[in-house]
Amino acid sequence: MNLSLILLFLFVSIIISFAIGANDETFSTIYGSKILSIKQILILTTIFALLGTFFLGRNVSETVGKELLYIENSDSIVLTILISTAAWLIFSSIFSIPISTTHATIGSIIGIGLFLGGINGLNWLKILEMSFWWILSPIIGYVISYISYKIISKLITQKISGLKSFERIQNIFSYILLVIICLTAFSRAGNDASNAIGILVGRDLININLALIITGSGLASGIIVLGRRVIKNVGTITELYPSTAFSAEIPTSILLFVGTLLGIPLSGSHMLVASLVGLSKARKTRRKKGLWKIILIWIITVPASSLLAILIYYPVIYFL
Amino acid sequence: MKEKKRSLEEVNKEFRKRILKGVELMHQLLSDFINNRLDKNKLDGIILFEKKCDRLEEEYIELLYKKKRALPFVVEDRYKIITSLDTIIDKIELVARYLKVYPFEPPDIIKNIFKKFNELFLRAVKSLIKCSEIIENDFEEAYAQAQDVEEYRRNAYDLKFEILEIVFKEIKEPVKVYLTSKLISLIYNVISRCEEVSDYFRGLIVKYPHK
Repeated sequence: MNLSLILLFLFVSIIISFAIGANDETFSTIYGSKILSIKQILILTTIFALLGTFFLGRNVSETVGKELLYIENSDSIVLTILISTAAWLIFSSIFSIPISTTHATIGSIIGIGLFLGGINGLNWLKILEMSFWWILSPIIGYVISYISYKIISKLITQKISGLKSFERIQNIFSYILLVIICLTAFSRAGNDASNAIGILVGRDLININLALIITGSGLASGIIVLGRRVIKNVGTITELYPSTAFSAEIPTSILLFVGTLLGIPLSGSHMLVASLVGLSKARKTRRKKGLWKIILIWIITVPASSLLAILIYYPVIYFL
Repeated sequence: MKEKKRSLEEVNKEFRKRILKGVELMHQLLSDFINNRLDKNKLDGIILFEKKCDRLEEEYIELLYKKKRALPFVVEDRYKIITSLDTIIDKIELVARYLKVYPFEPPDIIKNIFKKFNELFLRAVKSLIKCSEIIENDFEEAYAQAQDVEEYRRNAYDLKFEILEIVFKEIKEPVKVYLTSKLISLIYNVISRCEEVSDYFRGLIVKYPHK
């Protein structure tokens, strides 16, 4: 393989990891509940992005779109899907909107599948099945956080009598939340890295350790450069205390984990945003204005990334 | 030997103690003023209390922000509590400075009402300080104290206008009318500020979830 191609794959891998990092909202509830400042969050995310990538990112993920495409999955198709997904992720991160990476990826797959294989180029049954969970994810997040807030607040308010007891209880929640979010960031970095280095390692282009370091740095710089906007935006959807952030974040994370075990494609970003909305409803507190922008971007993610994939395909085959 | 660093609670306790002493002294001096026994030099004591409170406030804020704990919103609220309480002693100091330059004896016709007004002044500040102390451990009791402050302010408002009515109707010298009404307004401002701070405390109590 010639050098320009190696550089292209390397560039794409960095862009993907950067884009995924740019749309990582994992620490948003930590920011929203003021447990840490944005500076402290960025330091932590960088550490966990690098550690997670290095220690958990070695399991290179399967070929992108394998289950959904009925056409031959070539390098150009994989690259097109990855670039258009990354482009859409970066676009939404610029506007501080958290989106589902899966949605953007599937949108790109639909675009390229329709463009190259027509209506028969795609596994529509599988796509429909996934779409069902896309609609259900925010609803689940909303309901679960509403219920869990009611339960947790009932339990903790019985123990709060003054500022001191409030502070003590919130401190406990903040430490628990921080530990769990750090673990989530660690495992998420590993998972994201395995998606980003797939195109590099699968072709034995560079040493895996070097690939992991590059990907980890890409993730971290994505979080630092654009991810901070997404973190701030999601973290301020509603007023948060460590205990309320806990009641929105933890049940959502548990459900997401169970969903992953059962093979249900729930969207973490959608669930988190919806759970924060559910939380504000349960607490009867104010919600940030402009939520419609998030919903609009969610709705146009699939068609927009489809279109992007079609537009990117020809430049990609020109390079290959 | 290096002085041992005091805890946040110790500084806060001393701050509250100083305000209480300050308001008690002011109350005493106002009583002396009403009884034509005021030694104006003693008013300097109030100014000293205010200065000490400022130092304690600075020390408290420094400790508050130095302690890198994970709950800045409680830190922010504590910051607001102490700065709000400091405005009370600032206003008391203003009364003391004004009284120092007030050139007349209090008019006899307002003395009885003035005494009641002075009592309300003491009670309002004391209740507020108590409220700031017990908000740490007992929201319910603190809320009740805050309501008492509101009640004192309302009564003080009525008394203020009763005094002003007498002053405007009965006193003939315009300068005395102006300066006396100004003195009454300054004392009332302390009570009114107490109510504002107590309202803030009530807001805090409502904001934090509790049993």
